[in-house]
Amino acid sequence: MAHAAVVSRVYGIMAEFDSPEALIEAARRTRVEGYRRFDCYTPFPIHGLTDAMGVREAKVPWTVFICGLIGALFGFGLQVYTSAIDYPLNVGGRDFISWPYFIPITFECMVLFAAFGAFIGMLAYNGLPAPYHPVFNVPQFVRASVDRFFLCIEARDPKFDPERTRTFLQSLNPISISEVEA
Amino acid sequence: MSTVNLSAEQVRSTIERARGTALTLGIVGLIVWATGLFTHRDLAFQGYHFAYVFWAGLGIGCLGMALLVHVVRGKWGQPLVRIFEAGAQTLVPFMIIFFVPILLGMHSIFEWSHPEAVRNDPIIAFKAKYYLNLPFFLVRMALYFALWGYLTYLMVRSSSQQDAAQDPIEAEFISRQRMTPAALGIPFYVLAVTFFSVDMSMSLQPHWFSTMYGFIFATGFGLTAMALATLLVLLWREVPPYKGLVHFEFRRDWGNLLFTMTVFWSYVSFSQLLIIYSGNLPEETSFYLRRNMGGWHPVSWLIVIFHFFVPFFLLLAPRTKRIPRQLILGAVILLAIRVIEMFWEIKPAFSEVFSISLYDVAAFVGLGGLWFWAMFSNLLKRPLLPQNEPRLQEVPHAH
Amino acid sequence: MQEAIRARVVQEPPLFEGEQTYERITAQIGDIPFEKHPIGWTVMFGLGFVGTTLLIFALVVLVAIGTGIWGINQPVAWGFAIINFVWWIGIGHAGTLISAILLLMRQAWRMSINRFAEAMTIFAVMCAGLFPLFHTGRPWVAYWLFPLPNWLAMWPQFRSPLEWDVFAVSTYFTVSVLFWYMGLIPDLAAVRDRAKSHLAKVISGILSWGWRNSAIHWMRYESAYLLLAGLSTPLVLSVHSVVSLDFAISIVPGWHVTIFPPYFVAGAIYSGFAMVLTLVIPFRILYPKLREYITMHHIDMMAKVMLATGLIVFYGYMMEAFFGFYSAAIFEKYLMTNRMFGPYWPVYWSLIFCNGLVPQSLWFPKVRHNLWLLFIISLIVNVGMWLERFVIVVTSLHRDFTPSAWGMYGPTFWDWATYIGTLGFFVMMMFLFARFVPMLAMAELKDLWYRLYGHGGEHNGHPKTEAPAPTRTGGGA
Repeated sequence: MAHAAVVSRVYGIMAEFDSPEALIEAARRTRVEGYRRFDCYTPFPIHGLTDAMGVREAKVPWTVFICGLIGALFGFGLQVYTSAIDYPLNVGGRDFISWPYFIPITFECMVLFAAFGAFIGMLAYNGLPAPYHPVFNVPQFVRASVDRFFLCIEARDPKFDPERTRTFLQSLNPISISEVEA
Repeated sequence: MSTVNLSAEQVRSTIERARGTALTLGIVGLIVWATGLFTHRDLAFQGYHFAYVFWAGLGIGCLGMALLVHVVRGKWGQPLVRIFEAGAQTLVPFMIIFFVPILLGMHSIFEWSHPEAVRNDPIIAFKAKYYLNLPFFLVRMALYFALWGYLTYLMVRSSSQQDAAQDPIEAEFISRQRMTPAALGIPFYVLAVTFFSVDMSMSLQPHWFSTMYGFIFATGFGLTAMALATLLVLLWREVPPYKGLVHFEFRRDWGNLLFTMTVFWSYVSFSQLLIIYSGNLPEETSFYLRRNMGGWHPVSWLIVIFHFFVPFFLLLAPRTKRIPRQLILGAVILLAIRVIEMFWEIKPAFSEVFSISLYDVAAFVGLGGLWFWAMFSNLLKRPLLPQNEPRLQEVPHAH
Repeated sequence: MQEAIRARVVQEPPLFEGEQTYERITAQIGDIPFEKHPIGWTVMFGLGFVGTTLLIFALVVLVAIGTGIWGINQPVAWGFAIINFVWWIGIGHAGTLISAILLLMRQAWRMSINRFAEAMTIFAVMCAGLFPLFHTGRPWVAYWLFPLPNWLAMWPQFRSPLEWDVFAVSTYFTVSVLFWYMGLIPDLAAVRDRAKSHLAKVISGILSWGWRNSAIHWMRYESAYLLLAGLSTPLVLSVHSVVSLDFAISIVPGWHVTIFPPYFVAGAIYSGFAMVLTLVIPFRILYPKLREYITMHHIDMMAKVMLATGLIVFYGYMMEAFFGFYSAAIFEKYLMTNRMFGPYWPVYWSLIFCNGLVPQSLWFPKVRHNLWLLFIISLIVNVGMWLERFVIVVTSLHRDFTPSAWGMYGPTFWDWATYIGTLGFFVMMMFLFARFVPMLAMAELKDLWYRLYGHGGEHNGHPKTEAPAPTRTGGGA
């Protein structure tokens, strides 16, 4: 009973590091140790960190590509429908489907849709906007946007155990370790 | 201090063999072509003109890319730069010698060189008076080749000096010193390419004109050179000194550069089409009219598909740059379509109906064989990679 | 002697002045919104505000009376409005170039000026958009330009470049805002974490969408950012190309020129870089700490880009002149003669002076390193690019095919008031931006600092000029 209450109250355990190298090494060892539900927090994107964490995905590029295709089809279709089907308009004796004239707007629609795909896709996959998140409960965490590098093993990880996880994190030589309240 | 062991350059034997084949092909091609001089004089010279513009254009493109590499001094250009320089060295004297047949065939090639055309057509008469006449044409050609030869000489001399540099600071110093002539050379180079394309290609249809033409040709030439150099280095990727060098970062940069140049070429070409299409003025539409009639229309669409859509999607994919064979495929497609595109620029001026003559092919193979022979010979004269080049020795990031 | 030259050659100006830490970068830039603003800020903002007031006044009068208060009439129906529209749009292009193209080219020197230049883009496009909007005379029915189903069952004319403009400029504005805002999200999160006052915390917290610097988030963020850059690059080319097609699609001599699209794009980038320099040099004086991040290296690179694009523009002038002659067409030939020796000859030759001659001084490193000279050159280039649009719009229209239809054009007080008003609006917005938003991209600067010096190496003053790849994902980039 008591144990379950503790687990539900804890989001995870967070370790603080002072350099990107230390964090990359910590992430690699955390993964080797068998943890899967953990995340790192850094003031700027660090090359090779997600590789060390074992995270790989290409959802955003595909979203952008598909949005771009839809945009291009929409742009071209819109012009063909309006100028050749719904209200055929003869402009200077050109064909109704005068494709060279339709390229600019087709292109613009492609870019517009793809750009929204990139922006909204990035936010959506990241679960943003997030009005509340437990990691902010750690007082030192304000420095995640300045000069500190954090690693948080989450309580929902099957391997998570308050004691053993803490001991493991201790072995990574962090500056500090804190429990993250949910 | 030398960074690459010359004896380890196994690729030399490969190149020497390729050079021999090229020479044979070149001689056979030119002999076949020469038979045409007695039977179909006009056709033969017109075929030769197409071949000349393509292969000279490749040399010109190589020079442009060499200048670019020496100005921006990017890492991506270092494995390719010797190929660019060797290609540029074909311009003088090789391409000057092979200009002679054009001179002999002037009347078969250029309408403006016909006195009766000048007499009967006020527009040609005006142009022939001030610009399109033989003496001025020769003076201009001499100027272009003098400029290109001089720039090539400066680049090759400076990069050879860097090969022989004593210490890294001297090497860096020489490399930086080269930036100024390269940067100053580019504007003159582009002007020369523009007027070369006007003289050799635009003036085949003497009524037609387009201010975009120089951009289309300069980009096209550069693209051909870039595709060729990428192809060669990728083919030799398992042989020293290239072995172990052609890692992902290079392939990505080359793929992206090919992509950019393809898209830019498409952009300028489409802009020209759109503006002429909308203006619909008879003196301008003549260019596209010819290329959309008499069997040329499918060729135009071939170019749209293989000069834009196919390389666009192929080179856009990150996968292509990860797998060398896919990038080779991209480079081959681009080289092939560049040949077709150049044919499409030139041949319709001679023939309203689609046709390929034996002499087009023979001249193309013949001159091309000799071009490769000359280029490979130049390439073998020096180390295949720039020596004392710190940008080549930076450790690549692991991927 | 040789040694001295060598020493100078090897000593490149660094990308950062002085020793930095992540903390210092955050503090220097992130605290500007919370500090007392310099007196120069108040002066410039005040000037901008006066200009904005003038703009509003001029537009109110315009709407009340009509476009007749401008100098436009037949045959020159496109006067200042279109000149200024093209000029402003062009200025915007440098922002996109710096943020997008230089990112794809992995140019490290973009990192400290991109935010600033992107803000410039957005405000410049705002100024630009005003002109065609009010030139219609009835801005309240501007929505007719969009393909909305309506009672008349009429659609916009999609074969008109003016309609393409609607799509191009609105897309450009939208994508620029997205790109700029996306770059801001991590920095706003940093401001949120630093803010002392509750209000600042709440505002920056809302605007940063709860960003928590997660590594997985960063991965998607970088991927999306790079893709946006990949999209913005052709977009910026297309926008000014479409603007150039407003002219080139017609058959007016001097407008119907096939080289217009790339030539306009180059001109846009050229004038945009001039405007960035015009702004950055005084901002460095106003906010001395910016000098640590916007160093002489950056200024030198910007001057070089200005030189390169200036040469392309000059190439365009040469092509126009050469083909005017080579075409052997009577109207084309007359057009060039009229530009050079007709009633507007001083404008044409000033243009050649400003855009052809003056930028050639940038070949000399001494000039590129002299801030005062560079500032003056950037002003001259701005003027030159404005004159170029004047030459294209006015000299082409005022004498076309039929001499009986010839006329002259001159601006009125209201033309000038609107133009100067947009300048004021632009200045006001730039200074508001400097006051309330982190002016430089902090996360990117830290990233750059780490890449250059972070791997256990110390700051030796010789950074690599080429930064490593921003990310390994990303489609066409």
